[in-house]
Amino acid sequence: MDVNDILAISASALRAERLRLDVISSNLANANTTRTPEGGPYRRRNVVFESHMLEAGARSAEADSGTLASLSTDAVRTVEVTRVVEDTSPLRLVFDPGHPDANAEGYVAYPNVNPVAEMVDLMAATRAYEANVQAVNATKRMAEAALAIGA
Amino acid sequence: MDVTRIGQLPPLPAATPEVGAPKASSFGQVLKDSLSQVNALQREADTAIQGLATGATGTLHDTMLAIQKAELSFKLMMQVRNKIVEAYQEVLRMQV
Amino acid sequence: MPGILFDPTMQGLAEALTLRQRRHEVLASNLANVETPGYRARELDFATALQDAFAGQETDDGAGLAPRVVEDPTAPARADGNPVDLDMQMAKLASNGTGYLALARILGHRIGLLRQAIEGTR
Repeated sequence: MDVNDILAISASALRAERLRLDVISSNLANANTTRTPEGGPYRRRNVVFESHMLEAGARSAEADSGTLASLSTDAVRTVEVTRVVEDTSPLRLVFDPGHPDANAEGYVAYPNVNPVAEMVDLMAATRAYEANVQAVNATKRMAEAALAIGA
Repeated sequence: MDVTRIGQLPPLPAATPEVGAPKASSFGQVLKDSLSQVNALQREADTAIQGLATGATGTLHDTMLAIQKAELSFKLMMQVRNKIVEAYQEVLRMQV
Repeated sequence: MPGILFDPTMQGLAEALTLRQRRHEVLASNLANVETPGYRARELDFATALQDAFAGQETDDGAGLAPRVVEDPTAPARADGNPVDLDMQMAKLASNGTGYLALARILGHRIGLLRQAIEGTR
C-alpha cells in the first residue's frame, strides 16, 4: 500500500461520518415534524456502516520495495455507508385534539426521534471524524519524514 | 656536459597505473567489482524512482534509501578515483 | 567496496521503518471502522517481527518477512460487538507515528555521517 491507499482508507471514514452527521442533523431538525411531503410525520433515519476491502486498482504492486511483503488484501478495510434506513420503531403519540394533524382519537403522531440519543450519536460521529483527521495528519507527517531521509 | 647524449636516453617506461605490478590483478579486480556494485546500486535507484513516479511503490523510505545508497556509493567511487589519479600524478612527478 | 557503507544496522532500520508503516496501515483501518458493527480491531504481530528485522531473518522463499495481522487481543469488547476502543487506537497511532519519525531521523543522520566521511561535507 502506498500513501494514497492509506489516505483512501481514512478518507472513506471521513466521508461516512460526514454522511452520518448529515442524517443526525436531519433527525434533530425534524424532531417535531408532524407533516412531511410523503404524508405522515417524519421518521427517524439511520445509516448502515459496512467495511469493504480496498479496490483492486488501488492496491499497488510492490515488487521491488524492500524485503518485507505487503499486507494481505484482507488486512485493511475502508468503510462505506451502504444504506440510509428509516427507523421502524413506534411513533410518539401525544393527545392534542386541537392540533391540525390530530387523528380521529385526538392523538398527534410525533417523530420517533429522541434528541438525547441523537446528541450522543452526534458526539460519537464527531469523535470518529476527528480521529480519522488525526490519522490523515499522521500519514502526511510520516511521508514527509521519509522524504527527508538524506536531505 | 655532453649534449648529444640526450637523444640516446632510453624511452620512458610505459605510462600505466600498475605501479605496484605484482598486486595489479587483485587491485584491478577490486576496482571492477566496486564499479559493478556502484552500477547495480544506480540501477536499483532508477527502479525505485520509476516505481515512485508510476505510483507502484508502497514504501517511500525504501525509495529514498535506494537513492541515497546510489549517491553515496557513487561519491565514494569518485573520491577513490580522485585519490588514485592524485597518487599516479605524484608518481609521474617523481620520474624526473 | 560500496558494501562496507551499508551495515546490517541500516538494513534493520529500513525494515523497521517498513514494519512501522504496515502497522500504521492497520491502525488507520481500525480508526476508519471504529463505528462499523462487527468489525474487530486488528494489530500487527509486531514485536517478534521487529526483532527478526534486526537479526536479518528472512523466510525461505526469499520474499521477506510477512508480518501477521491478527485480531487485537488487548482490545476490549463493546456492546454492539465492535471492540475498537477509540482512545487506545489513537494512543497506538501516536506512539507508532513517533516511532516511525524517530527511525527516519536516525536513518537520515547515519546517511549524513557517511556523506561527511566521504566528502568532508554534510
